[in-house]
This record gives sequence, structure tokens and C-alpha cells, in this order.
Amino acid sequence: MILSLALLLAAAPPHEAALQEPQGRAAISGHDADSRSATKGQEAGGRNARFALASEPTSFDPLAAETTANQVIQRQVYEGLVEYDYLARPYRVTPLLAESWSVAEDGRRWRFELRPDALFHDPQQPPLWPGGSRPVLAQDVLESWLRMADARLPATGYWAMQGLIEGLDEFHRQTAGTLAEAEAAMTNALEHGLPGLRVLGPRRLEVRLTRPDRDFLLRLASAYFAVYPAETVARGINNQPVGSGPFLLAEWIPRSQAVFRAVPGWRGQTGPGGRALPQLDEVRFTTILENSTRTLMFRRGEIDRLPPLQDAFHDLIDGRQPSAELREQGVSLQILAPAGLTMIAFNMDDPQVGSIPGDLAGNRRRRLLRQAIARAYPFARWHRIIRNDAWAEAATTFIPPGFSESVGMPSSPYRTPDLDEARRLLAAAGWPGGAGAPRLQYELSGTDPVSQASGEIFAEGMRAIGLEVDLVPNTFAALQAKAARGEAQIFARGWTMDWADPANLLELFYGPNRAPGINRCNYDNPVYDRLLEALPSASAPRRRALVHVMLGLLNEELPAIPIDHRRGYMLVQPWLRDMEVHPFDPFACKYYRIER
Amino acid sequence: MLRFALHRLIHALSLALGVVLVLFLVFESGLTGDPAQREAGRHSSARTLGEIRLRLGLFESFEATALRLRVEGSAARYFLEAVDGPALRLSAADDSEISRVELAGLDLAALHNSLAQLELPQGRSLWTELRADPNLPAAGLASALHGARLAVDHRRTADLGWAQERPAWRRFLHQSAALLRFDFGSDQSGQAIAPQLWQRGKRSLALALPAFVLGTVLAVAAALFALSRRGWTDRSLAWLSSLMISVSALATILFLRALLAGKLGWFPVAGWEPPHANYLMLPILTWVAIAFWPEYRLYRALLGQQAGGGYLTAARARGVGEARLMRRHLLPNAWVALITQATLALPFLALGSILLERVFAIPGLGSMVAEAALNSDQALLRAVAFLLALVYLAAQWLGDLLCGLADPRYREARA
Repeated sequence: MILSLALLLAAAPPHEAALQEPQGRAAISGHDADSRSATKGQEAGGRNARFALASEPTSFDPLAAETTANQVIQRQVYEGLVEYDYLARPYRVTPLLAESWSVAEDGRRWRFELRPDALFHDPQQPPLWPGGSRPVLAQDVLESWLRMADARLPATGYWAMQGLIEGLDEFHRQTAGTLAEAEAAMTNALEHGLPGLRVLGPRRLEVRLTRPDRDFLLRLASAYFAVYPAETVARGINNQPVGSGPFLLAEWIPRSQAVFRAVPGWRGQTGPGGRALPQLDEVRFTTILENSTRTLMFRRGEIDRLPPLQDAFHDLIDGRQPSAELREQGVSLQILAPAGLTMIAFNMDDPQVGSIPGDLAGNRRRRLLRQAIARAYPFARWHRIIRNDAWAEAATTFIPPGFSESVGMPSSPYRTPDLDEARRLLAAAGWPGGAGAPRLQYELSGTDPVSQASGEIFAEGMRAIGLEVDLVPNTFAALQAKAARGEAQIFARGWTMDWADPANLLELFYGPNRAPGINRCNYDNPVYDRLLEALPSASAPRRRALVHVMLGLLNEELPAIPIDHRRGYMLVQPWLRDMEVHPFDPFACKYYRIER
Repeated sequence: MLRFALHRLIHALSLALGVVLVLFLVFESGLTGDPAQREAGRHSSARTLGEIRLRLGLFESFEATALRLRVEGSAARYFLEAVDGPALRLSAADDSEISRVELAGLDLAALHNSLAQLELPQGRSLWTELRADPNLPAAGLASALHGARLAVDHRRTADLGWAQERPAWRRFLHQSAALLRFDFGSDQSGQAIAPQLWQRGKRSLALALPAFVLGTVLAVAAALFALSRRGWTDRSLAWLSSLMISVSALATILFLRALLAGKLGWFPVAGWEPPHANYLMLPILTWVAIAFWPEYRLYRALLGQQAGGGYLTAARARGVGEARLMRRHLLPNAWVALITQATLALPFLALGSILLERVFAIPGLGSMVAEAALNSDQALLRAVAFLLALVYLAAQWLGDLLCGLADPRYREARA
């Protein structure tokens, strides 16, 4: 998922994060109507949690589950077949809507049994169904997944299932055809399923994969595979979501605030320690764009957790623990291993920095230009200003260390700053000293100071070798839209892995995923694509070799400059219990507990 | 009095029409550049531009069911036009048919493909007509085709564009009618604008109105106080107000927040949850702290002028006490000037709330305006500008009525 530049960190599954999306900033305040002093959340009673988001959530439609902020709010309402085991490390999945499953020996045929007690809950009046709820059926799973694959709709998550399920890509193609074809394909699929996706009974679903995929269950745990009733789509799913999860949407101000209340008597799932879930009555997410405001709110106990960033970092963190002042208040610190990549992305379709089919000489010059830009990029300055010299690890290539594929991986030669070399590359490209070179367009990814600073860092680095840069202002959402249309030239991009497999990062450069898919660099290399397709069924050593070849291609072609891998730092208030920051489910609120 | 009220209402309505004209000149006339280009940014595709133009009402929505593809000059530009022609065909300029494009259903993707495969001989003027089947909304066809890639020869491609730009006077009528109906269209994300403005506007009002009233009342009271004391009190207040006006508003906000919310904990730092009054108190207080000083200066000067009239000196000579002097002699004479000043200050409320709403995370209009400006969301900016103008005109009208009530001379002068 996409993180906002600001940083992101922590816990967000794969998607795009604002540069600074922390994973969640939360805040708590209790307020239960009776007496709560608004100023002192920590003194109020109640089982209410408050969190701050650093970028704006825009929609409850799972088709828009691409940004961290949208995933966070959607996950409170929707469920998938499986979820991550909250405490298990290394990460693994456990049953959620699926009670059990079996897989055939060929590793391709999966059968899922849905739990009988799962209900969709509609908080609206009048509700969609008498009594406000109805059971979750296998047909709902089919319909939800088909909707993601319907080419007529603007889905951001189709890439996660593309090429995976038998007949799904064919369905996708049919829905891209004429209206009549699309409707016929949809009617047929709703009634009979697809070859690889069939409803065998009210609660029994069969999935046939095109090939064995060791990530299949991890994919299912991502927000893209949310299950929801078709009835809610017709009514307006953007603003009136209905799901089977433990929380109902109680208040919603698009872009600004989402408040959830626990479903009364939710189905009785228990968490660690045997406590009934959810353990919170209310969860409130408020968009707070200003870092200083979030920090002050945390200090005042108005939010329950905070990724310490920028100006506040050294005040709040003392080495690898909270500052003495915070320790005294009982605040704890959680640090996560890196599970993502921040990069400076190039639009490879762009005639000034990209790769144009057929123009061999021009492509060579532009590749040299990208390499020169990488050599001139002031990584140290970025690390100091954006990461406080602390909470990220310099990237040597496109996947983080710590995975089996990372052992012995090739690092990019252009990742080491060297101004002389940068000038030499620029001269080789035909623009000695930058004379005659195109003006670069760097798209800012938000209005926060971090995003602004990232632009200035880039511009300053380029000026050192004679390249001029225009900084283009955007909100985070506006940049995402631009990049999805393939109209952004150069931009910082943060991606938190969607599941625990570094290959998820390699999918960011897969040709068929080009914009509006997640390949916002529009990198298109058939050799690379073939290698990626061979990954899921490869043995471990072969898999590592394939990954290394792919990294070698990216290192040389540089559709993006790898910057760093964020480590999630998360400060947690003493009253927020049972909160383990999870990189792939940053706000697993049903497990959280408030105890004052 | 009724006649006066009506008269002033008509005056305000004529101003509203003027506002519509100004907004048109600013946003849609093209005098300040292409609004769609402004919104889309420099690297936008023809298709993105076309979609924005349709949304902003710069182009006709096509009601014809046939479109003509016109190639201009050196085949560098292609346009779609609505026509009433009979056929679906690709013809050369001499009307000899080159090929036909079949349209079945709303098959836009296939149409794109067939256009991309069409090879048009260069340097020849030619045209094709795409006749949709009767169920096909031509507007949909046009917006889908706009920006389609057309192969000119093996290497060159060109983007389709529309020729159907609305003439300026029709755009003006269309926009004015929509604005006056409060039909603001939809924003960049496709959400309808009017309900958002209403919802968010209420919250902004909850912040701005009390702050404005409180600030104005306090400033007038302080000005009266200074006038009646004169001498040392007056001079020190003048000095203090100069000092406070020189301090930047941002510094004041950050200081008050750090002190009252951060250190003393009297108010929450930021947020928006019931009871909302808790979250409004600090922003209101901050607002008053910022606005009070310049307003104090203004009203002190205004009342000082009034006090220069001989009638005060005469009254004072008769032994009227200072308090009574202010209340019975000065204020009644100064009402019109005070009210006029206060309504003049209204437009600045909107600007003030942008900063405060962002800092205190109040989901009002301010944060939305800031976002719209940043994203160059033309429809949203236009709607907000119109709404603010209406608020201002309404306030002016109310101010006029109050002035009329307070001073019969005012009524007579303007009836």
C-alpha cells in the first residue's frame, strides 16, 4: 500500500503511504457521554480509543483500498477469509471468515468453509435487511472478488489477484469488452462462478489457482480481498459501508474523521487471554496533518499512539527507548523491522526521463540521466531531515534485508552518492553541466513539511550537477490520482509490503501492473515480467536467484531510486494494552484494550 | 422600513449577479488561461483535460448521437464534432469512403482500439463519422473518445480533441443558472459539492460566528473604555495594540495552544468530537486574541472621530457622566459607522478560518478550501468563492437593515 511520504512507517500493509504515514497515530480519549473532560482524555473512563491519521481517508469502497488511510478505516468494518495471526512471528495467517480450508496436493485447488456465525451488520436506518443483519455466504465472497476484477470499475487492487485464479483474467478481459459482453460475463460469473472460483454450497467456496502460490493465504489477508454484501454497493459503498467486522461506522466526515462503534454482541470470537472481542466500545480516527499537533496531542493523552517523527523525534526518543519524561508516564516504544521501501519514482512513460519504445539512443541518454540523478541524490540529507538519522535503514536495492531472498542480493551501484560520477554520467547523456537538459518536474506528495522538504532535498541535489527542478504542489490524494493517470514525472513513493514477502515490492515494476495499477513507474520489461511470473512456483534457491536477477535489472535501469526502508517506531500510551504494531495490519483494533 | 428592507435586498441581489459575472471572468472565461489546464497541471493527457472540461461545463454535453472526426492541417490535430450526418464511415475530403467504424453497444474500449489501428494518410484532410446506436449516450461517447490515441503513421500518434467548446455567452448562462440554483457540480474526486459545503460550512460557522461577535463586542467595549478614560489608559492600550498587531498570527496560535492546551491542559489540543463546544473554545479564544487588537484600533479611531463632534463637549460641559455620555450620546451616533466596519471585516473571516481549522483539525470549510486551492480544483474553488460572496452579501444586507433601524437618516439617504 501507498504510504504518505511522511513516513510511514509502521504498520501498514502494502499500499501506498504518504511519506509520513506512520502507521497510525492514535489517540484515545475516553469519552462516554457522562463526564468527560475533553482536555484530559487519559482521565476519562470508557473503552474508547483515539488515533490520528497523517493522511486523508477518502472512501470505504474496497476498490479504493490502496492508500494506508483507506485500508485502516476499511479494515475496521470489513473482513476477509483469513487474517494475520495477531501475535505470531514470523507472520502467519489464521481463520477469519473461513472457518477452515484444505488444499489439494497439487497446491492449486483450495476449498474454504465459511463460519456459520458470521453476519453482515448494517447500522443505517432503515437497514438493508429486517433486523439489520444477514449471514455471510460464499456467494458474497464470489461477488466481492468479481467486483475487484470487473474492468469497468476503477479498482486499485486487481493486481493482487491478477494471473492467480483460473478464469479471472479471462473474466477481466470480457468485462473490458463491449457493454453486452461485460454484462453477459458478469451475469454468467455470478450464476455459475468462474473455472477457478466456484460456490459449492451456501458456505463452501472452491478456488483453483493457475499455479501453486506460497503467498496465496497472505494475499487473502490483505484489504483487497474484503468481503461485503452486494446490496451495500447499490446503496453507496463509499460512505455507507456494511461488513462483517467487529465495528460499525458511526460517524464519517470524508477526509477528516471516521468513528466506529463495536457491534453489540459481535459473534463471540475471543482473543489472546480468552477475552471476548472487540475489547473497545469506540474507535475514533481523526486526520491530523500537522506533525506538531499530533505530537502535542500524544503528550496530552488525546491520542493513544504516535510514530515519533521529524522535529519531535529527538525529544521523544532516547536511543532505543522513550525519553525519560515519557518513560515516567509509562509510555512504551515498539520498533518494527523494515517491511517496505521508500523510493524516488520516475515515470518511465515520460518523454524526458523515461523509456520510449523504439527510441534506442534516446533511451540510453535518459537512462544515463536517471543514473546521474541517483548519484547526485543527497541521501545523507534525506536521512537526517526526514528520518532523524534514525528510523530507517539505507536501501542498497529494492527489497529490505532480513528475508531469505535478501541474502547476498546485488546492490545498486548508483545508490552511493558521488557528484563527480553524476556529472560524468550527465555529460555522457549529452548534457554536460546540465546545459540543455530538460527541466525536471518533481511532484510533491502532500502539504506537510516533510513532503515539502523532500522536494527541496531533491531540487538541491540536482542543482549541484546543473539540473533545474520544478516542485509541483499536490495533496497526497491528488498526487496518487496523477500518478494513477501516468501524469506525474518524478515523485517520492513509499510502499509498505502488503504481505510478508519481498516479492510484493517487485510487483511494483511488473509490466501488466502499469498505471492505474501499482506499477506507477510504468516500467515495462518483458524479461523482468517473465522472471516475476516464474517466482511463485520456484524452489527456494531458484527463487532467490531469480529475485537477484530482477534486482540486477532494476539496479541498472533505475525506474526508481531506492532510498530507504523505514523501521516502524511507535510510542504507545500506558492505557493502550494488547497493542502490538503489525506491519500488515496496522490497526487491528479489535485486539486492543484500554485500561486506565 | 419594509420598503427600505426590500430596496436593500434588491441591491444585494444585483450584487449577487455581479458576483456571478466576476466568478465567470475569473474561472471560466479563459481570460486567465485554460481552467482545465490549470486544474490538470502541465503533464496532463488530452483525455484528462477533456474529462475536466466536461465536468466544469466548458464543453457542450453532446446530445447528438453522431460524431465527426475532423483532421486539421498537417494531421497534427484531430477533433470530434457533433453532426447530423447519416452514416458511419471514414471518408476522404472528396467524400470518397475510406472505411467504416462499426459501433455496437457502448463499446468504448473496442472503439479506442479500432481508432488506434486506423492509419490516416498524412497531409490529407479527411473525416469520419461515428454513428452510435440509439442507446448510446453521445456525451459518454464523446468523453470516452476525447484523448483517444490515433495512429497517424507507424511512429506518430495524435490525441483526439473536441471542437465543441461552448461559446462564452452560453457558458456564462449555464454557469450562472447552476450557481443560482446552488448546483455546484462535483469536485475532483467526483463527490457532489453542495452537501459537503453545507455540512462543513456549519462547522466553520460554529467557529467563526461566535469568534466574530465576541471579538467585535470586546473591541468596541475596549474602545469605549479607552475613550472615556482617555489619558494614560488610552495611550497604553494604543501601545499594546501596536505591539500585538506586530506579532504574527501563527506565533500567537502556537503560543496559546502550547500554553492553554499543552501546558495548562484547559482545552483539548485538537480534534472534533462531541461535545464539539469543547473543541471550539480554544480556536475561538485564539481567534479573538488575534483579531481583537486590530479591531480595537479601528473602533478606537472610529469612535474617536465621532467624539470629536461638538455635541460631546457640550454634553460633557453640562455635566453628563462619562458612562452615560458614551451610552446615550456617542454610541447612537456611531452605530452606522460601527456596523459598516464590522460587515467589512466579514470576508476576512474565511481566510482566518483556513489556518485555524487546519491547526485545530476542525473539519470545516477552511481545510477544504486549502485543499481545493492546492489541487486547483476549479469547481470547488468557484463554489466556495460564490458561497463566501453570498455570505458577505447577506451580512451586508443585515448590516444595512441594522443601520436603518439605528439611524433614520441612513434609511432616508438610501431608500
